[in-house]
Amino acid sequence: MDLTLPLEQQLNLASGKPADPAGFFGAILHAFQRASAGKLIEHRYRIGGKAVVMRFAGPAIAERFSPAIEHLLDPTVAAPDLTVHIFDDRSTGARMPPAPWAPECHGQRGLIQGYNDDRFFTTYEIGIDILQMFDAEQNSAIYWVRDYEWIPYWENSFPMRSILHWRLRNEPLQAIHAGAVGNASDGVLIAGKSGSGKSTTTLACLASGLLYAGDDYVLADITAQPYVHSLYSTAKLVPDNCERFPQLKPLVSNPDKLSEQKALIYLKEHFPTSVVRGFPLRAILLPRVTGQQNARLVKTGARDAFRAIAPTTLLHLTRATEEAARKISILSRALPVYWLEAGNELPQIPHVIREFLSRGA
Amino acid sequence: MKFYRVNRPDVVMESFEGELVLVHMKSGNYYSLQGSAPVIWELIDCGSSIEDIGDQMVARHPEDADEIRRSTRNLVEELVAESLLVPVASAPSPASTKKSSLLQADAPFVLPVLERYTDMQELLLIDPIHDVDETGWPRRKEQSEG
Repeated sequence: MDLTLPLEQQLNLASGKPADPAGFFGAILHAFQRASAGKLIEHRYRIGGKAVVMRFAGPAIAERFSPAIEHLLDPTVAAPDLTVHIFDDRSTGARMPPAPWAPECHGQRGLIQGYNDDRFFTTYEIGIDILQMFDAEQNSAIYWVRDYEWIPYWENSFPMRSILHWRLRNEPLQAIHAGAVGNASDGVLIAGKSGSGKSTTTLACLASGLLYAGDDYVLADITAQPYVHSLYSTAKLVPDNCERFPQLKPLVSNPDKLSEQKALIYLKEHFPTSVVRGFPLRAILLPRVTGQQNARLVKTGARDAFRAIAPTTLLHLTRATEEAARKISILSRALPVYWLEAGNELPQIPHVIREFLSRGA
Repeated sequence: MKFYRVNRPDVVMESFEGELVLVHMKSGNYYSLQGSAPVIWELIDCGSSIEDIGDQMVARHPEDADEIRRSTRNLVEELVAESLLVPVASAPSPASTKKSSLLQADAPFVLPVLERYTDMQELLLIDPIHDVDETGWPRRKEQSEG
């Protein structure tokens, strides 16, 4: 698949017809309008300083995604920087128009050949049947799933992640695979690939009363004073963490599905004063397990922050580019970086972070 | 003369003191170039041929000529095998204007090292095999059969 070709050269190979992303976007927007007639639910959010309007075709699909971003609601936002239209066929009785591209156009990571250029961003995830399309000229997006009951739990935990990434690609903002905890005045990023201890660290901090801006994906502002904006207030717990944090067990939203899913907790509902919209950043902490007695911070450098954040973030986010890598590099160089070496006792982790934050700038 | 180009946009890179970190967006692998490898990489990205790189490095360290030429060739072979570099027929266009900022007269030659990390691959290994069902949308084979 060659996404770099000019649009007019990206042909639908089977039909021989030119790809028509604008025409298709218009057709599915029309399908959304039919699906949402009489049951449109519109929520307004402030996300990373941007006004985002999410338009849901009815309560069934709104209830799937709203809890993860409830803490970002802001009914005062006016002219939207992004409008997302979200619907499914099952709950609305809608019928999505057929895919206009040939089967051969489905590329790696769901990218559709002919429907990705400077203006349009399109993915279709086979298996979970989710279409996401963003029109950069109109700052308008569509999120369609065949059946709202098929939406995987991870999508519920980070709704619209790709669409937000596409919309913010030219802003000094970057969605990154990291958590963030802090206090009223500032905080730290907790970065590392899956399994590095990010969630354990952020949940230990949440349990200790530190403020929480995210444990999986957050939005970093890379301007002169780095700042972290919260994206999602969902915690995903692997089985080990369910045992480490028994007090969280009663809060799990999917207790009957833990044999096949991570435990999902909507934190805004249970920790309304701990979940915040963001804070200025003081440092990047990279958790690692050492087996030593006491938790401690050990100074390291930008290279380790970049290695902890960039590969995992760039590979998660479709159509991430050199520009995204550059933003992660700027962030990595702008802040002091430490290994967060975990000790034997979980409460040591928030203690070390509190102590670090209390030292002053 | 053998020329190569960096496999953009599949490969993104970032330089840190003495090290270049590369991420291959299609394979899911990421890499660390160390020793003199970042200099060799940058010279290639500036349009130098593999022979020219050898000449430039040997001119600074004539006592290590065999080692420099052999290790440079081995590194480039590895980089091509990993699809980080792509062979090209002639010098890439910016060759005449770009200069390497890393090639310094007094810098010692350090055996080039390429470290490879494959732990992200699982993120990308999603089976693309599918059928198209009656609604005009693809389904995984087992889904449409079940």
